[in-house]
Amino acid sequence: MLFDEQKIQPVMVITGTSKGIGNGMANHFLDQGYNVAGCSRGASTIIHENYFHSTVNIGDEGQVRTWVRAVKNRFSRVDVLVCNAGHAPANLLMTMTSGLVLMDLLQANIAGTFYLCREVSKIMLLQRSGRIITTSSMAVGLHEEGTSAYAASKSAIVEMTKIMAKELSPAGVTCNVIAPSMVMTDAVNSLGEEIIKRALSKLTIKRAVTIEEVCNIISFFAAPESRCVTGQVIHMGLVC
Amino acid sequence: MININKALQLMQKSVDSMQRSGMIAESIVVSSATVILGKGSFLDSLGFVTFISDLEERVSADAGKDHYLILTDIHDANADQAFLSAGALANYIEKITG
Repeated sequence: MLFDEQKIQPVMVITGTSKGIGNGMANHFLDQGYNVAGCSRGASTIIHENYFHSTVNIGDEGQVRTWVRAVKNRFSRVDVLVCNAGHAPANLLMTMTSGLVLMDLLQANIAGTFYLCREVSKIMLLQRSGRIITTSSMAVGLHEEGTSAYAASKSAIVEMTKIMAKELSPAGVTCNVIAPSMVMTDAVNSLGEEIIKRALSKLTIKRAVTIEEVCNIISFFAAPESRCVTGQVIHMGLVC
Repeated sequence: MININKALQLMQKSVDSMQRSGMIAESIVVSSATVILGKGSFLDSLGFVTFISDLEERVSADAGKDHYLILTDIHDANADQAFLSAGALANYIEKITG
């Protein structure tokens, strides 16, 4: 646990906690003793005394700014930021992708991650410590047809994170990327058996990863012993 | 409202705090003419962001409500100058808290 040696109950901010991977992460780290501040576009699905939920559209700069200030007012600090929320539309060939879909995707995945990192890093700068973990995707390594917009947005997150890592390194803040392969959430299950089977066949480790395995990577990046690990990408289940 | 003198006092507290934490080597006395950003500033880029973040918290605490020091707005309020002085920043703070 981060800052365990200082006997401080650490604070983790996770976006997209109402369902899927974000929900699993929030529950995992609440069990680990973290205070967790989560958000989603809808109501909370987690009831826990150490959980603080807000309804936030992360693509809205003002909402992100207000939320991060509310988290700071509530917990006084942020030790770990996990940028999990984002849009993952069904596969669309580039020639069929509208400008509206593209802009919606870029706003949520790139701008949303940018706003969150910017606002939380201000808190971390004052603390002189912190861990920022962004989320990329196996789509970046697979170069699959139908993922031009989505994979481009996830690739941008990798580049953004590497540059943040350089900018924030003097303040003791590390920035890393987790790129999970397939996690069997409701959203993935809704793709149907055939698409899931085809996607899994393209992975190096030909099975879905579990939320516990994803949380293990988060724990690694958040650990005090990982203070010299920054600007790195961990791909799960795929050689890139 | 936070007037210009009060804003300069809050800036002084931010600078003193940064000096205590080792981010600024020497002691700085903040006046209206002190350069915050640009040629002659005592802050590097990371120091500037830290200073603004610290000041933003002090302004909010002093005003009793959340205020945000938005860099593009500060720039727009100071567009004719090649540098940002403490006095110009104090003017901006007085304006947003007024």
